[in-house]
Amino acid sequence: MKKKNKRGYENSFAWIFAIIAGATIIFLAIYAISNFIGMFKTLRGSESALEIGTLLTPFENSIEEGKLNIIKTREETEIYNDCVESGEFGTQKISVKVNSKIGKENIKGVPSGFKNRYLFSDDVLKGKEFYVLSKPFDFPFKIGDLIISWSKDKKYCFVDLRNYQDVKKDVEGGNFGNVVNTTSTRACDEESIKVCFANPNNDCNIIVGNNKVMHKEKNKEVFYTLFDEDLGLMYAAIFSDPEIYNCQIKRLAKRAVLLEKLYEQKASLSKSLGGCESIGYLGGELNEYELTMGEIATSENPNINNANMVVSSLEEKNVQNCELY
Amino acid sequence: MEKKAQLKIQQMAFVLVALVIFMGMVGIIFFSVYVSDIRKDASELRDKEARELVRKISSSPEFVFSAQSCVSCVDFIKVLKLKDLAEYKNFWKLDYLIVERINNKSSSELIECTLTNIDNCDKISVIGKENFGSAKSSFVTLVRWDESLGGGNYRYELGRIKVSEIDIKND
Repeated sequence: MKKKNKRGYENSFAWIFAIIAGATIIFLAIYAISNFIGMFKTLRGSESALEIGTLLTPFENSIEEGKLNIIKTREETEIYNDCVESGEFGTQKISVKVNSKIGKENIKGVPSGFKNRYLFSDDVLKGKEFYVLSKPFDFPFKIGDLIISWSKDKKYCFVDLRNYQDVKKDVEGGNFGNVVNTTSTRACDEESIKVCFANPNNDCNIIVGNNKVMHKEKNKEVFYTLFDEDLGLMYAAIFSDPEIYNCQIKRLAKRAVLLEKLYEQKASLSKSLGGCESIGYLGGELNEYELTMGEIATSENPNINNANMVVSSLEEKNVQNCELY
Repeated sequence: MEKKAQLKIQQMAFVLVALVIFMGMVGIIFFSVYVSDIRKDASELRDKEARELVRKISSSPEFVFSAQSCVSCVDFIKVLKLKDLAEYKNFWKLDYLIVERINNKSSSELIECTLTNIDNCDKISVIGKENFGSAKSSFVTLVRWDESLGGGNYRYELGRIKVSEIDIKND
């Protein structure tokens, strides 16, 4: 009897020990794998953010300007557009969440920051394909490139372009991918975002006119300028979240102030080196330009039109054959 | 029997310890390979970014001579002044950014440009940290006003922009 009891005790101890040790090992393995999957997702998101940032480089600096391009991703992706105003130039932060089938929760990667990029879009772009349109922003000298982006899944309907023939040309010329042009909101797809350029009604989501774009759902109005008949800022105001638009305008104004400093120094050096003297006469306009752009950079709701006059004046005085910019 | 049982428990404990040590070692090897892959990927992405940047930097507003007349012409005077603006030191995420005139001199013979030697200098170091990685370069046209050219005109010279992306450890 004694023997039997001992073996029973011996067997049950071995089993309990094996179960506890096995369970601990399995628990640790599961914990490590789930942590690893999380890390992997964060890493993939971070890599994608840097890659998307790099992909945007060709859209800068005139090479691909005015042409519609498509960025395609392998999986459903969320691109987070985060505009930071603080600092000398502000920062464009891009982070990515890749919707992976492994694991339940998808994790946003570490954001990539760029000081020389201006992405005008919704705060979150969702989908597998994204349209990217690049437009230079010259005001009056080149300040940067507006990179305007929207998801292929988000349809836009431009209504009544009678007074906007250039926009009509762009839409009909295929420059806007999934954007359609109609004469009334009733002809638009029900799910599309209706952008009204004249005779706005209750169906319009976005109203364009008088150098302003009204985002009805967000109850926010933003200002654009058609300086030199350039439509870039108007498109940026339409496709962008109003908060992001205003933040990017402030960042562009900050860069304009620093560029003005550079041009001011160039003007004085050119004058002192002799020749090209007319360049030095721009001093007054440059100072006024710096002041106006500085005000725009710090304004709550920046109105870029406030600088139109001084910009025109600078442009008039930028003498051909001895140009400042 | 008691001894036999103790021996079995000891055996099991040894096996478990060995198993944990083995798993730990496999984990360490896996993570070291994985981390080196991450470093390689990050470095490749930065390299790609630098290569894209060097191709496009000449047409950025701080460098371009006149966007209307020449997109890839670099304004020599603007770059010379850009060197003095501290705000731009961290603007492009670069450790090294120089603009140089193409000539037969070796890199150690190149003379840094200042306001007093514009006609006889060779390079403008906009960002010139001592330690930097491999530099990528791109040919450009350097433009500046020259009074000696028939009563004053623009002088066009062949130049080169060299950049090196910021070191990951310093980022």
